[in-house]
Amino acid sequence: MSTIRELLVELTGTSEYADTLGDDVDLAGSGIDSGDLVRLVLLVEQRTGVEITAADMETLRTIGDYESFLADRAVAGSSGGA
Amino acid sequence: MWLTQLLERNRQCFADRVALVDEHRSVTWSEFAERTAELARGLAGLGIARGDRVAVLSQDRIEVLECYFALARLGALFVPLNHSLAVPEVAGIVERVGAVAVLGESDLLDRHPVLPGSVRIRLAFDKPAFAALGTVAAPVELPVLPDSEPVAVLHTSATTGRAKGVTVDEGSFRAIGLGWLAVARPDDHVVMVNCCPLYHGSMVVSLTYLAAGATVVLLPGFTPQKALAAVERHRATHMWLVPQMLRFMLRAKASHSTDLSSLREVLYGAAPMPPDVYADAVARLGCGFRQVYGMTEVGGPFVTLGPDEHPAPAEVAERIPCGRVVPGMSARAVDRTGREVPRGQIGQIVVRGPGLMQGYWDDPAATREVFLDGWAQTGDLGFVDEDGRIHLVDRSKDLIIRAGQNVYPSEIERALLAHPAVRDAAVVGVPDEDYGEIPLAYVVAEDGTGERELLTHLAGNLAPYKRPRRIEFIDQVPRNPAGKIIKKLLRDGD
Repeated sequence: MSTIRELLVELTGTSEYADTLGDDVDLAGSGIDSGDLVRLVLLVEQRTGVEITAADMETLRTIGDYESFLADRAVAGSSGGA
Repeated sequence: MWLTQLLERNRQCFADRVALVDEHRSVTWSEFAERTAELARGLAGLGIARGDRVAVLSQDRIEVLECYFALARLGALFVPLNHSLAVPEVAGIVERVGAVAVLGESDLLDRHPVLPGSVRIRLAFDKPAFAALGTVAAPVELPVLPDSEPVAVLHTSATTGRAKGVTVDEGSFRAIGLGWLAVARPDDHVVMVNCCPLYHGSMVVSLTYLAAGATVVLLPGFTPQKALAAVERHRATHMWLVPQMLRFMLRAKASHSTDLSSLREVLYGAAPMPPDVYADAVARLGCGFRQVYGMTEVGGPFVTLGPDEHPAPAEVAERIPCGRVVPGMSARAVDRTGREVPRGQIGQIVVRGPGLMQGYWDDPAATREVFLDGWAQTGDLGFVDEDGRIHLVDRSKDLIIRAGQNVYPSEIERALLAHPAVRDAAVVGVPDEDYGEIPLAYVVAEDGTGERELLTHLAGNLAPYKRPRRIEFIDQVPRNPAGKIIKKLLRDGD
């Protein structure tokens, strides 16, 4: 299971929500509470150490977006980037 | 006329200054006033008239307030809808108020392809037809309306399981607005980031700051990152949020890298401020704090505790006092018979004054029930201290406040009982660090009924913020001889 799906399981307390979501489904329209989406972003920051800005938020709509974002940051981090 | 007068005065005094900002654009007072008049004429051209109800389904953006002011000019009633409500919840509200039009954002309107038969106009803010409204219509004479004219129907969660519409008039806005302006004294140099949804009674706070000529920055849904960025970008002096938002904001990494030095005051309300959040905020933000205690039925924010009255974090044992009632309104603590209790003694907080609602929409029985000898019952238990400050200690109502949003357990119980396999259900609020409280459901169900099945059922009928995260299956719901659920047993047993 991907990092983001694991965090969604942790937030919602069940694997059922995360299991049924496709990578390209807009999370905001998926029936999850808006507060839980806020908590997801904070949890991503806490677990990965990556800062998410307001500009980043514009691009983070799906599980796939989050995974790509984290992968990019990991590459940037390992190559000495910001 | 309060809203119209507010616009006329601010257009005269601050014509080229920014009134509203959202993520798409900003408008000056002059532009805001002109568009409002234009929109009023355009809506009149579509046949919307005095007394009609117009529902608005949108995240916070400038068009929402333009509609609010435009409808008030026509004498039509603004009915804001919580965009997170499930399809049957939205349909229920639209049907009960008999809305003739639904305006809003395309993607939200698209979630509701079928609306009740009363709706004959459907217009999206982000389509050219809305922008063109009023720009080519023949001039329409706009009426001059008294303050007693109902201006909005704001919806709250209700014990009956169906949202209740609170009908307010311009007199209510005027009373609360003037009282608030007298004590909080915002001026036209204030820039306030409004983190709270405009579909909520809390929007009266923004209206009041607009009345002072302040600039209000609207966010399309709260995220800590967007709120922090808005403060930095607009050099905001004030923020309006619920304590859980403040907790999230302080937890975000961006809170360490954002310039928040412009902040002078953080307004908070709708839920108790957790002492740890307050202490953290005081230490890190270095600004003043203003508490807002309000209730939609009372016209919005009727009690406030200013920055100078806030205790030092170390002095906060459990709760910060709510503050004093604003001029023009009265509040007191009473016993079960409605008699005022002595200072320091706990009673129910009741409120009286020109800010009170006209009543619940089409529900005279519920309206009678909420008033006690002319005083509106808040359902909150508290006391008044020697300095006239109100302190809340508990609730007499069976209510869950989840991140500032009211949820009546009965609403969830009713939705659960609508499932054919559910024989009985009880919902209680349990503490939650992030949300303050969350609902937990106890269910007696047919053998073989699963949690997933019931959560899926609830997802189709209730907004996400009302849904319990967990369902506990039990053999019997504890009830007293009168059949009333003994919730204390459930809470204590969890």
